[in-house]
Amino acid sequence: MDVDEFRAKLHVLAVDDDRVSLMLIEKQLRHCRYNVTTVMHAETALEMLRARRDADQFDLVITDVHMPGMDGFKFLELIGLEMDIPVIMLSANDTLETMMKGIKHGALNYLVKPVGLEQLKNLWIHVVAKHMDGPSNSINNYSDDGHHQPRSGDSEDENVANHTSMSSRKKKKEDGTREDKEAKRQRIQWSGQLHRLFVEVVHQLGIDKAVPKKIVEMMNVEGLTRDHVASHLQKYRLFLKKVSTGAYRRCNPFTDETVWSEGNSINTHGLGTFGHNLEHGIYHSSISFAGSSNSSDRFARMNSAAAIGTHSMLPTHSVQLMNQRNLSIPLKDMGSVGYGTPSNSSANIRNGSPLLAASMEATNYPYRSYASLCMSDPYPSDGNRRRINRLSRLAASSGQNSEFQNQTAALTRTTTQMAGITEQMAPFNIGSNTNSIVMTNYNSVPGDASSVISDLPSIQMYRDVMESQIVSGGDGSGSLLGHQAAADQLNYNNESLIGTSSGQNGHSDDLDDFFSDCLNQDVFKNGDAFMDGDCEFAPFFLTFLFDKGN
Amino acid sequence: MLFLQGYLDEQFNQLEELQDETSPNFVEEVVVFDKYPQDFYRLDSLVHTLKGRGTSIGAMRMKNECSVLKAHCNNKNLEGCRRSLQKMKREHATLKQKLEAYCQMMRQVGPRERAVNSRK
Repeated sequence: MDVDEFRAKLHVLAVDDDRVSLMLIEKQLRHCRYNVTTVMHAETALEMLRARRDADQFDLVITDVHMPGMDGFKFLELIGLEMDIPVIMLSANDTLETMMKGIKHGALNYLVKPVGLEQLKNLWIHVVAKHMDGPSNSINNYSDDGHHQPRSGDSEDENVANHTSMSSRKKKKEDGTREDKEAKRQRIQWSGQLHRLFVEVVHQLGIDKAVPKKIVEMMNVEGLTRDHVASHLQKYRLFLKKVSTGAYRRCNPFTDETVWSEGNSINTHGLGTFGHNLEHGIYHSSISFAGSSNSSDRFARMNSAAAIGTHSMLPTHSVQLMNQRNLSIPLKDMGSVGYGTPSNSSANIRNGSPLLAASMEATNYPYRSYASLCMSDPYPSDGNRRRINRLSRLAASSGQNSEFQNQTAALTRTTTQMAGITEQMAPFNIGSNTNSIVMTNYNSVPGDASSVISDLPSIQMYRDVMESQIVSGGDGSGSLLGHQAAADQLNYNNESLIGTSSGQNGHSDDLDDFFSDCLNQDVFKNGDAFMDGDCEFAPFFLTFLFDKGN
Repeated sequence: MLFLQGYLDEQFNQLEELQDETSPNFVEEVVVFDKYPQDFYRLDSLVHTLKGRGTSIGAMRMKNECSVLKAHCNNKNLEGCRRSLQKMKREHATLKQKLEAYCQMMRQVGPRERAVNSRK
């Protein structure tokens, strides 16, 4: 097969709001023998991509940068979050900032108009390269296009040769569940369920003892190979490392920096999940936003509202998605991970906050660091910084629940708009009805850790915010005082559970070991910035949201 | 005009369509500008689009003028914008003329010879 034939197998999606430009690029691509589909709006493109998630997915997306409605960057982010397809940006804009922005948002390449045919002719390279980012990940898509028999003499399919027959056999076994189907494909898609299982297993084994071979055995998922697990484990470690050290470097002077919790089994077990929830549950925590009256609930609510504030900012900035895979954790599945029966909120707080704390190192500017962690950008842009500050002020200073909720809700809506998930967020942060339902679930359904999870980060966050407000003489209004008592109580709870401030290296806690292990790992993948790896897990959040809506 | 020849050989219809597209857009731009003289952002957007199109078909002068116009927009230089817009109009008219002539020639030459011509 020559290059032309190979290109003929590739299906490209071209997006541009300008009909003329779109037509141009389509002509050019067709000239290069690609199969082209054109779309004028990013939203439509996303729908198409989502619709083809399981079959016949596009191989490459080429998108304009400058578009009304959803712009190229947002589109890029969403693609990276939801489906791991290579994206090329295209624009007449050749300024450094824009180009950098494109790459940071996950574009594999940035082409400046006018685009030459030669440049387009070689775009297939990105498609192939994208699928080679794991030790055993192979290009099964191309094998799907009809070359099910291994062709050893074929240079492009060489990597696939070993796996083609295997993957074609596997593909033929149509399985009901998506996860199994994904698992059987050579290119493993880490669904939420799969990832949760992975994390459970890892923590059962103990992070430092978790070797891919054992993990694979314990996970016992058909089609999952040691290599899949190995690469995923590497990313996971990166992620945790980021969580533990990440943007907290320029942290605050507060004493209470510890968050290593005691309670080994639960914590370590829950940590991974929690850590993920943390990142991913950002959105999720916005859920526990109740509207009723008793103090602990109210407190939790405030927390969640605060959490929303933080959380809602997260998706906006460039989650680096370069090596994204589809990481979706169905929220309901989070259920039984390491939590006992959460019978009441305080119990949960106790269980939860250490976890949260542990994974976050309980900085006192959780919003900032948290947000920047998830933004995978240690230097949030001014816009984001302002947003962060504003949200944290808002979160801490609101006196009225409803007012707070409204504000934060509004804020949430505004900020999360950027991630394009407004419609999903909306139900979560509106009014007490939803919230009280959530709270009810939370209380009455022991196994439903989703609500638990959602409360936990918020509580810790809130505490931290409180502290920061207090110490910084913050922007909090007098209403702050009203919460202080509650905050103090919570602080007490937290502190009594939190171990000594033990830094990050080699301490008795499994958790500490875990983190130090992470720290010692040199797990940079293909030389990408450190941030990249972790943020692969960030998308769990969004999908929490998506799935929670079910 | 390399790009043009490269891929529009067999598709001069699309080319014509192209020039039809660029015109309305341009007009719209001028209108917008006059109506909302302060709406630089919108103008900038339109110009960006035009610039993209211009560059894609190899219309260098047009593209340069677009860049200038954009710069004026950024500086919120109303007068500068107006002047630039005038220049752009002229460039655009010239471009249109040339494209039309080109298309005509293509049509006259006929399908087979078209390919030959473009390779000159």
